[in-house]
Amino acid sequence: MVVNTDSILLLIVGLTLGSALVVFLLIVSIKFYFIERDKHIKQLTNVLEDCLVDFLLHENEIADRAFARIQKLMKSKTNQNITIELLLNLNHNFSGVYAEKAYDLYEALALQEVSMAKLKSRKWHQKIRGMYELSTLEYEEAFDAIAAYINHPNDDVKRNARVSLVKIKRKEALIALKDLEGSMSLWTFINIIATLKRNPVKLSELELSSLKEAKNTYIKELANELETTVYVQ
Amino acid sequence: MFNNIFTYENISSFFEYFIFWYALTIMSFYFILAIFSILAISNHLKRGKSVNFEHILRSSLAPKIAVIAPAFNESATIVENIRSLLSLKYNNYDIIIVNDGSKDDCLEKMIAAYDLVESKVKAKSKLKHAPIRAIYKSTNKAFHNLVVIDKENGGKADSLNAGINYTNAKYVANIDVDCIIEDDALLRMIEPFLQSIDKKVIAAGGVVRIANNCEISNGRILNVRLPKTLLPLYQTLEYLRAFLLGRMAWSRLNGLLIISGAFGLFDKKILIEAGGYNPKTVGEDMELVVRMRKLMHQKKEKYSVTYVPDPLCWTEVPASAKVLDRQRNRWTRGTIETLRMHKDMFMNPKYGILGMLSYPFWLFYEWLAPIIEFLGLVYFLVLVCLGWVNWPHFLLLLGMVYSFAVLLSWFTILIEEITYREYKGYKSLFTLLGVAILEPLFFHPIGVWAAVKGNWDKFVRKKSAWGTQTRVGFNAPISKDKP
Repeated sequence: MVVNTDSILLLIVGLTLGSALVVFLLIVSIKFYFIERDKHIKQLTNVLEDCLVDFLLHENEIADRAFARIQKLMKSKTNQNITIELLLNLNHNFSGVYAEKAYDLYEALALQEVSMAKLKSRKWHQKIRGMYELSTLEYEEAFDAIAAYINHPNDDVKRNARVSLVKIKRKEALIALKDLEGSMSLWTFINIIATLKRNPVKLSELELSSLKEAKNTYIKELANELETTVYVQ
Repeated sequence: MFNNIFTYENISSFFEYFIFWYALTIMSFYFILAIFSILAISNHLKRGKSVNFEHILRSSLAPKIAVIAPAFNESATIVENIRSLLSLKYNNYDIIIVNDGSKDDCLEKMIAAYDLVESKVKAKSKLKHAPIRAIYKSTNKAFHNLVVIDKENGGKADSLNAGINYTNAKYVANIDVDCIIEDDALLRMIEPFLQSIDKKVIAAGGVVRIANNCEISNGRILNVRLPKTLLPLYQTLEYLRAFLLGRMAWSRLNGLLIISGAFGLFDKKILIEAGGYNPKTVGEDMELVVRMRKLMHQKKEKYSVTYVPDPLCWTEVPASAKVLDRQRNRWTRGTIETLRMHKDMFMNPKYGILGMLSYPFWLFYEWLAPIIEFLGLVYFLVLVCLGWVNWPHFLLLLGMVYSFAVLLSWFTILIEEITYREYKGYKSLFTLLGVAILEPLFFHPIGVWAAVKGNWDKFVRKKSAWGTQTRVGFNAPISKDKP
């Protein structure tokens, strides 16, 4: 069979040039979009940071005014997500009263609903983002919803659910993980131990020995590690 | 009978069809790789938004990593380079600098700067390497994790083997000492090893970016800028394409054959079991990965070799054509040596995707592509001399190859703009877009010529040496060449 290569070549050149034009336009539009988006994020972050400082460091009127300003800004999803990001950073960098106030703000602005919506999303990366937000800000009401994912078929969802549970409710999480199926990654293992080291949990002898008797070998190992590094503290 | 076959028409149409189909298959391959690459990077970024490295950073359970860096005549920058390595963010790591028989005062500078004294350290494994003269450790507690091995000259692979022998770490990060490693690079690289459940990750590579003209202070990149001169600019685009498109796609397919010698993390046990680095090849980075993978196939264990798309390592690339030519010549010889050493893998279903896809791809599109391109050019010139050129066909073929090359580069820039956006502002963007238009015409032929010479050196001149490549350091204006 003789193939007319020239007509195929012509078709490919046309398709390639057309695609190149589309890619070029996409690149320029995306560059423009990200530059504008970054500007918006920067401006909003500055405003929000000022409000957060007022809210966290002051009482009464100044704090109320700051709260009202933040609330006004919570109309768009982007703004809500930027606020959550700021609260997560606050939580990483502060503890005690400021961390508690950050949590209060998270609830008062109903941002936990935004995180819960992510948790219930069908997209796996949204689920893990929701878990990350809820567990970092220790939203206890999310415990059961997250517990439903500890044996999820997606590895990322599964891993994050296990660590998130421990972050939210340490003791209850360990009991829930006792009946875990399958194996646990070293990453999950280290994260759980580190969380428990940061906020030590007091397990009774009975609870510890029940963990040691778990069917899952990884939970047994975890119990042994807890006994030596966390529990005895 | 043969006289009837070898007519001008037959030969001519054979070449025309061959070049056409060859170009078409290579383009199709790259198109498919681009799709896999997008999937891999997109997954990585989606997951990355919710990864918290804080716990691993502080945990005493984080596995130990030995950062091994061979040094040969690095006197000008070695003290600074080590300082930068000492500030990496990871809880449990050693730095092993292997002085590979330097002829300058590299060792003396290290001894003076880091209070080094001779120390007795026993080898933990038995990889072969040139004799060790002495091993040094610091008396200063601030540098407790620094070890300097002084040995006789044996080359990069030999030095890495020596470093591997003297560490008890579970993982080894093999780096070029003059590269700039991002401070969280070890955390990002160890992640796939720790996250994996059902597959053993045996090696991970980090994306290498170009540091020429970047603003650098204390061994850290402060401001990412595009290079000012053309050759490094072309290479910026080339590296983006190679890492963001090529290696990420092969990583997704679990068919990676190479991890850059500039920065790779390996499971030490598997590395030693595979026999360590082979000092007899100039492509030791690629050869090691292939051998480790073969070993895992022989052991019938589930495994993966992975790439982390985040920019983790910054390197200076050649700014002169002569140095570039020598580097590409060496890369070609390294590829040839690795492919010949492991020729039993070719189309061997025993090695899965490695034998059926990765190896043939490297053979036909990495090793042979420049030769075919060169022969095509010679054939074209002969036709021009004889006045037998089918100009419409030739121009269409050229148009197809050229437009596809530009499209592929622009597509890479698109991925970069969606993901990392390292190069800020419209000026950088349009510079890169313009470079993509020029590259196939001016830079690509240099690469092809260097590869052809690499083949010549390998098969005709039987050359097997590394050659030398001088770096001037990141603060110097231009690269020099060394005889």
